[in-house]
Amino acid sequence: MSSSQKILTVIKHDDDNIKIAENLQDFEGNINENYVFNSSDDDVNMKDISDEDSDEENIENNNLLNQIISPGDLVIKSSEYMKGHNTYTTQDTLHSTSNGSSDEKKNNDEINIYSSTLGVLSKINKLISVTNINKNLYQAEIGDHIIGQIVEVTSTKKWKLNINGNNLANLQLSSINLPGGLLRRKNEQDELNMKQLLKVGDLINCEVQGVHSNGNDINLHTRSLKYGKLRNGALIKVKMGLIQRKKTHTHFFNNNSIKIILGCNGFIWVSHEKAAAETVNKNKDAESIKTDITRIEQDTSFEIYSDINDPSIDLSKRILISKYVIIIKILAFNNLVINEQRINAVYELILSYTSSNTLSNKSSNSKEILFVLNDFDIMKDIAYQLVQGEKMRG
Amino acid sequence: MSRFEFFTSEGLRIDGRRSGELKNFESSITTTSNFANFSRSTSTNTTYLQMGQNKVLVTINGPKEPTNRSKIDITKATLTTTINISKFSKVNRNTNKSNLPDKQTLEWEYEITQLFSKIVVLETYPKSTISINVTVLQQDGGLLSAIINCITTALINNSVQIYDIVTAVSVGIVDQKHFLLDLNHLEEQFLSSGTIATIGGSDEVCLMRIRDKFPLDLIEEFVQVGVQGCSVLKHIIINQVKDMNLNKLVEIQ
Amino acid sequence: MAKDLEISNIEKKFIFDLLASSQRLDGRKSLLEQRNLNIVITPNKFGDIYIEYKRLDGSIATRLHCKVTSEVVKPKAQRPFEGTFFINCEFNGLAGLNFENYKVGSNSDEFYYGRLIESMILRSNALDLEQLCIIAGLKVWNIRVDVHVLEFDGGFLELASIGCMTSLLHYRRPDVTVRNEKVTVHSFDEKEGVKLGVLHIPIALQFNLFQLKETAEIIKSNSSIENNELVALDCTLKEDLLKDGEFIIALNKNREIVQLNKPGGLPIAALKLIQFAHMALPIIEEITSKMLKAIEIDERQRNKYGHLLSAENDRYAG
Repeated sequence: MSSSQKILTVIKHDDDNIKIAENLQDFEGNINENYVFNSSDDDVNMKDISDEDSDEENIENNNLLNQIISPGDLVIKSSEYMKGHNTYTTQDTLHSTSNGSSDEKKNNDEINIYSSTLGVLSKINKLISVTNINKNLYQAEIGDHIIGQIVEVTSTKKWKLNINGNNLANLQLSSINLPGGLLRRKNEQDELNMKQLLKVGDLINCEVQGVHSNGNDINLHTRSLKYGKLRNGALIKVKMGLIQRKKTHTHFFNNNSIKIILGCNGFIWVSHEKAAAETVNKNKDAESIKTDITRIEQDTSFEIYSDINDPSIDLSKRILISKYVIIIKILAFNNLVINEQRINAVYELILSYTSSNTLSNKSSNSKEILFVLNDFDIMKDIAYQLVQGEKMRG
Repeated sequence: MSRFEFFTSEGLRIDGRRSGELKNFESSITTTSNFANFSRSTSTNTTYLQMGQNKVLVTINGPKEPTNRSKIDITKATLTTTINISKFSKVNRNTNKSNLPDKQTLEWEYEITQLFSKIVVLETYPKSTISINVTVLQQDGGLLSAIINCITTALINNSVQIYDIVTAVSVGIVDQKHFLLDLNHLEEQFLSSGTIATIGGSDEVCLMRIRDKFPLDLIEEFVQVGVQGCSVLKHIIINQVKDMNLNKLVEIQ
Repeated sequence: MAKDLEISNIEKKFIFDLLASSQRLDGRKSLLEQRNLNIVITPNKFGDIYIEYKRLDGSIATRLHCKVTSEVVKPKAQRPFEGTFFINCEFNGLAGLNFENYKVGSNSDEFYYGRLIESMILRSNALDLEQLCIIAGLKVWNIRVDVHVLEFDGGFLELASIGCMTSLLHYRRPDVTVRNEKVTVHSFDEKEGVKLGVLHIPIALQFNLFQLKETAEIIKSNSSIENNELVALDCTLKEDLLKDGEFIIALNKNREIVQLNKPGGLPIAALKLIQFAHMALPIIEEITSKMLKAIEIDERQRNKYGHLLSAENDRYAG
């Protein structure tokens, strides 16, 4: 009982969560009575609550609780499966010593797989792994589209990038596009220019090229027009797990004038795209023929490493960027997975919100509306409307 | 022995508990910020634990690349612990003027570092550091056990890989025969007491610490009471951690 | 201890294999065998003691110097009726190449062991501090023990605790007379010294644990049945660097635990822990009797001519 009360006080910002917490309080008695929930039928029999709705939700919660594996729990005991992320194994020596010598050989192959984190089980063929509930740090996989921040320029032809993982990632001089085309060899002059190309603190849009030694040695590359230095925009950091791996991570909004890159590592870049109509065609082209070397050669110039923001971005465009930043903040604040549809949906909600709320009395493009939207209650309200809308559509 | 009757003939303690009863145990998790956190780790969250009147906050920073190059271990992560016992945490305000930790705190830091460097799966985080920062807001008896429990909870909440859950309780003895579990500050002050920590609710002892005179022949019972208390506490911690993280599971699915 | 010391992998394996076949690097035949303890009391001085561990061939492995000094000071405000006591453990360049002067980090083993001995004596009231009061709130004795490591090859904790207790037992402070709030401290020529009030003799013993399996296996196995670790007493420096955990117990011969510490490290079964505690008692009893004997021999030598000076008549019974 006490713990669920705690939850009530801590997570009071989400209406849905409060519901869950209330339900928790109802079935808390069960937890004390029997720790292991074997089947949901037993739980139904154990208590007789007339309210059917809450009962169903209780069972649902029970099932959810059952799914959670805590550290040290035995996941599986078998000789067939392999251990994946967040698990460790022991040999089953207890039986081999006690059993006869004939069984010994058979039992020696058997391993116990234990969980080493709080999470849910995931099984891919013979690979057993546990998915973290708290996805805090980014675990790189080859091909991920991510955003990183340069922390250090090393003397060994490398940049070191913070990508929200437990170690810094490497970006080698040889894996970036240099002015003058892809096939040009990197010479000493380029090595000397490293600090001018990408400085400490610059944000880079890149892809994971390789992961070595247990996921702690990560190499990145920017060898495509999609990738490179980021400017004309703003960065938002959200929790890991709010962004799911998709085919494309670059999305265009608001008549193609806003470009949002959802980095797999929880970094989101919102920027303004100039010459809206043209770039769309260009980008579609670029994606289809991104391997076209001649094209890359043409487009690659020192301009892509420039530090200066586009002078054509005026106040109204900046406000537009900030609006999208707030949309992502609203989603992140309410722990909702961020994707293209949701960003569009929230944008529409904001529009309707501003038109219905006449307290600002200003045009929707004014700065005040940004302050209004930054309020926690309004954020919650918008998210609630969004979730309701999604439920309606199913 | 003293002017207090620590264990009455009815089997009640000074604060109304039974001999083997734990203090109320509550823990919760708060993320320092859901967004707009522009520090290096977007993920750091704080774990708050209340064990009786002990109030402890733990933040875990890492695993991350060490700022100090000399601390890098190529094969595994390095663990550091700092404990900050705030000056207002006791009834009598600590008059020690310097901000340096006292010797007792340094001892605890040493012991906790030694303890958790066997529990955390350090091999999965080569070339990185994990730093555990403990802040004590209020202290009652058995502070060390509260700190250890809170660190365990924090490690789980931060999804640092650990072999198993470590739990700790303090045990005291009255009149050479009654054993009290999970002491309050009065009991700790006047009775011989010790702290015991086990792993995974089993009888594997990770840490044990007795600093008072204690009869050798009673050590068996002392350990027995402690181990039992730890295994009860393990279930409490697991339940609370699961409850805390239930809403996140809903999001995943 | 001594973190800079690097041991090659092949040597590590060698030492480990030796231990697994219950052999020791310095020729001892058992894991629970201690090196020869030797207590040297400096003649004509009080509380000045050299304490050594000798190897089998007679060479000195570890050598500590313990010295007690006393002075008259003002007592602490919170405890006006008690004298003060202080232990200073020092590792310096003398102890070996791997120690540096004035560099004891707060998170190091040296600091931890020093604290253990200090709290072992203070918290268990091994030294009666109330006896050290001269005038309440104004003048008390301050007793200070300096422990210096002169030669180091492991076994610091045991030697330091034995050394401290022996020197405290042996020490005599100057006698004082108080007249009209005026304190006179008599030299040993005027009045014989007064022994310190040592109420019981705690001695620390360190069990060193070496793990035989991987950590995961140890945590998950039923360790009360299985043999997961080796336990060795009195490690040499090289063995000390390889150990995976330790278990320190301080006992006195009245069957009382003065201190019990298992500071993290390798988890072990509770049953084994209890076994070690009981195992320690006979060892500690033996050391205590050795200590008392050394003091007694010294006493007899000092009073070699005592019977000549005695005014007592020989008495015959019957």
